[in-house]
Amino acid sequence: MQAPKGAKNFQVIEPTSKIADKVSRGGPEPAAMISRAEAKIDEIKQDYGKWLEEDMKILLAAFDKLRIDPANRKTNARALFDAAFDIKGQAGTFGYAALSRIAKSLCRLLEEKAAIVDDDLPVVLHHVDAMRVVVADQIVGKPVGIPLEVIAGLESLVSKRLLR
Amino acid sequence: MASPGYNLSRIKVLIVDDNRNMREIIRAMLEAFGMTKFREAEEGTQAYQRMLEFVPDLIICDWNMTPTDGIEFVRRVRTAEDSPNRFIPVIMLTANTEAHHVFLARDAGVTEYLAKPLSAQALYQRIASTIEAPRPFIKTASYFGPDRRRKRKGDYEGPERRQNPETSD
Repeated sequence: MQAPKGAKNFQVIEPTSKIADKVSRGGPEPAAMISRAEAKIDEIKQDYGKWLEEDMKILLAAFDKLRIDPANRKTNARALFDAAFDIKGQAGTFGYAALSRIAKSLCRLLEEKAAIVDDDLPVVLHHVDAMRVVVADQIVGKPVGIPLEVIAGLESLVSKRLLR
Repeated sequence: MASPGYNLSRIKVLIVDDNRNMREIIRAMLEAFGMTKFREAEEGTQAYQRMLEFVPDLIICDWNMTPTDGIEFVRRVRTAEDSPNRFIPVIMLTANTEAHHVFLARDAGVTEYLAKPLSAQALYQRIASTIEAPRPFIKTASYFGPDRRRKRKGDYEGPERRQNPETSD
């Protein structure tokens, strides 16, 4: 039922406890905290190669399943999406912007296409291959030149597949 | 940039992410900010249990998790009878970057939205925002959570949209 004109069907509530109650002054300057956190990420970066190796193994295994087991394609596509989604989120944090963007493009195909069919597999394979190359060649930083062209090509392929 | 010089050591943080490496990254950043009290969970149901035991002051939460995802978890935090703190700030940290994702998270009661890739500066700014600019909570027939209107429109003369429970804000 429509509320009468002028009536208020909502309440505004001021929270009784706030996170600010637990915060005091006397900490380092924000810029110092941020620099310290960035230095910490640089330390962790040393391990990221190993993590990425594991993530790529999971991705490749998921792709194999998608390829050879058409009966469970929906489940296998979801597993591949999850693997690519993890890489998409983490790779950029460690400077692998190209890898993150390729993973994003793959996620878009797997998420937005109602069902993955045989004709989609070459497009998936192109993404997986490109990711392998980026990892093998340790292509970091903002993508330019050939990596950028490859990414644009992959994104265009996905857009075309989504129109079908 | 936020006001300088916070001591964040008393803030208890619950980190919820199904990826162990991501939890490690978040924790490392928070430690660099001077935080010391953490609990971790791998998905929403486990996170809610941790919340009951640990009673955190801040939640940093991923979206895509199974069996209970971040959106369902946040809804439970905001609306469950036994929720230990329905007003707790929740920062959603996710690789979901489309606008409709942001709106869905907002409508679940998320306080701050942070898209991966994660940067130290962006994470610090979201935390500072929960401290410096806490928003009142709004309760309607269909929503309980932080005020979704961040912009104040003092000269707005249109109808009060919150009077209609079907209206999203």
